Amino acid sequence: MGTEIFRPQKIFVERSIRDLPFTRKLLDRWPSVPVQIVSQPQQAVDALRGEPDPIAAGKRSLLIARQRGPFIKRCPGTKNYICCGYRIINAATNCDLDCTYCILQGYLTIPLLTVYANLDDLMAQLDSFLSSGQDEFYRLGTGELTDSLSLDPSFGHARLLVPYFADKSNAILELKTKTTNVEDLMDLEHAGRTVVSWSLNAEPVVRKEEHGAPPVKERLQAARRCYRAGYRIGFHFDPLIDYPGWEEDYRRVVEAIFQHVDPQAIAWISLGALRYPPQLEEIIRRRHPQSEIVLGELFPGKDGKPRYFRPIRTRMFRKLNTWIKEHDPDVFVYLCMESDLVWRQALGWSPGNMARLSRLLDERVKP
Amino acid sequence: MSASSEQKKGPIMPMQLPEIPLEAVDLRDRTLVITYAPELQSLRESIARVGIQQPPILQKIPRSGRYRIVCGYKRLLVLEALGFEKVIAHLASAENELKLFLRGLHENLGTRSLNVVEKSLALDKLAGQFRLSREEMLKDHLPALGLGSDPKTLDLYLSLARLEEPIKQDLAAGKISIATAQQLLTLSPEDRLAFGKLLTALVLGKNRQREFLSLLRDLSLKGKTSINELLGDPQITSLVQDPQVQVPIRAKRVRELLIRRRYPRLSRAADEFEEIKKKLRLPAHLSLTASPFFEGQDYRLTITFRSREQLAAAQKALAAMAESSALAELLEITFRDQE
Repeated sequence: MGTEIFRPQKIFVERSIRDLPFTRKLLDRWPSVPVQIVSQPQQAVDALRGEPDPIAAGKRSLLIARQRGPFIKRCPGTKNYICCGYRIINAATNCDLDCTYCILQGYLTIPLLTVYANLDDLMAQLDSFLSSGQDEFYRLGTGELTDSLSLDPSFGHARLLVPYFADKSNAILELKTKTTNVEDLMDLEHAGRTVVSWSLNAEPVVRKEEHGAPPVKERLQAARRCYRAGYRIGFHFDPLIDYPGWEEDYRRVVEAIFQHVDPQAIAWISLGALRYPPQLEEIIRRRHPQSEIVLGELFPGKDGKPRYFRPIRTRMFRKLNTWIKEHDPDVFVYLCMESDLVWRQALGWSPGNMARLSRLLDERVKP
Repeated sequence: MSASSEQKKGPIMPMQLPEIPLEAVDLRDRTLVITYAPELQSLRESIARVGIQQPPILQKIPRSGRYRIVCGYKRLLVLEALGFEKVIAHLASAENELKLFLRGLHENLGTRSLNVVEKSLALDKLAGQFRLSREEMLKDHLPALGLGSDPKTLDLYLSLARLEEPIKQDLAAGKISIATAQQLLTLSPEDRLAFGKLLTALVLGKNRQREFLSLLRDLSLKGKTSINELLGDPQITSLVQDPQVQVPIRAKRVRELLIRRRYPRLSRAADEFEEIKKKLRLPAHLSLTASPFFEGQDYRLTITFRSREQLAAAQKALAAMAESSALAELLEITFRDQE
């Protein structure tokens, strides 16, 4: 259904986790793929040296490693803009899709598809984290440094995490994806404690910029399956791209959302306009010379990252918000990494700070 | 400057070296020559005054009976220009050509700095003419030219050798930076030459070269047209060639036009802001600025004064500004959308 089945061209296995069950399971899945045991991840990185496009080569190689740092981190957000207070579960990093605008192209120190095999540590850290806060509510997701479901048929993180969160009253899991890999979610016990979210874009943007990702229609069909399976659904229009004719194309996507999913099931819809770390521009120009996204009117924001000229993004947010609210005024729309000024200009109100936005989002999904 | 009849026979040398008729030296044979766009004036003056101190090295080509230059290209050019008939020269023994080439190259390296194009030509000859392996080039010859041992540097210099002559001349003369030349390699030959002409006409510094090229490249991608066509636009050509205006002003105007086309919506907002500023009629010692790229809603007002009277005048101007309808306009533009 749209997404190709992933098969790495080479697998690197960190020696210290080679006998863990998760590692064995993955190696059994691809018995004919060459395997190299490495004493540390850097050896796998070194193997990419000399590749004409190490980023593309990294997407074809899988590193099975040990997560030595914390599995759970705060979303780093960005200076001077309002963040939503999200927590990231880093069970895997990198992605087999190849979106032109993807910040991972310039962000990851290990540019290979990497999955961490010490899942017992992950679960122990989750137990500890979720029992540490007093009356705190947490929104956690696996889709920040990877696509939550793109490689899930191989990794099986959803099968591990969705039932785990089913009995948690102080947290919700969000699985963010562009793919249609929801088959494994269908029979899981989720108890409404998992939001499955889709990153959406205008169809011409999908075709031109989201290489390897399925069309919007297929994503929405997958969303409908999850909605029918009782999951709460989220949508993220991020990054919105400014181009001649964007209004009609984005409006069509908004229409399609409400043809596929009952507004009552929508936990939230976020809007974020194109922005990226300054160093990504050169990577986009080099790796994706056909892409025109860097030709927009982008200027350094208060965090130094190029983002659209403020009136452009304000107008985009306002339009999208209006179209969404025409279908259901109760759908919660929020802006990702935007200033108080833009919130007020585009949506007519502002949470003012991260704490309030975080609380408002929590309220949407608290039991 | 004239050479005496004694000098026309060639310089007096302490060693017994053969005297070669200059017309027997093939100055067009650049098989072993890497010298590019040489500056000859000071050498010309020196040779005219005291003759040649270091004889060139020549190789006799048995088939034609003529001589090929191994080392001393500039000296021979000067001798020819000064009307010398003969030159005293070392004759290279029948070594293989690579050895002769390296001899000439290292003699050059020992006595002067090679320009970028000369380094690229040297590497190009080693790779193409002498078919040296990439490994040899990276291990021995790139470092000898002071270029380190990075394969990317080797690739860059090999590419530079294939640039068009006018671009190479600007590169050798330092009018085009290596960074710009590297960018130019991604363009078509027509676009490169058109940009080269623009650089020559506007005498741009290195940072401006990069900026102009970036603007032109983006405009060409946006407009699905070539840089060559863009630069043929009558509005741009009239600014580039305006005889009434000094070159730096021409460059400034072309830059402004390119920025306007690349960032039309920011430019409109900036124009509107300037219009409102005019309506506010601020005195010269009050300066008003918007937040960078209008990202925020804050405005900054700076007062410059050196006397009580000036401060009082500023206070008065501020009071008038606070009551002005133009101020309402100014505050309103923060909240305006753009199509």
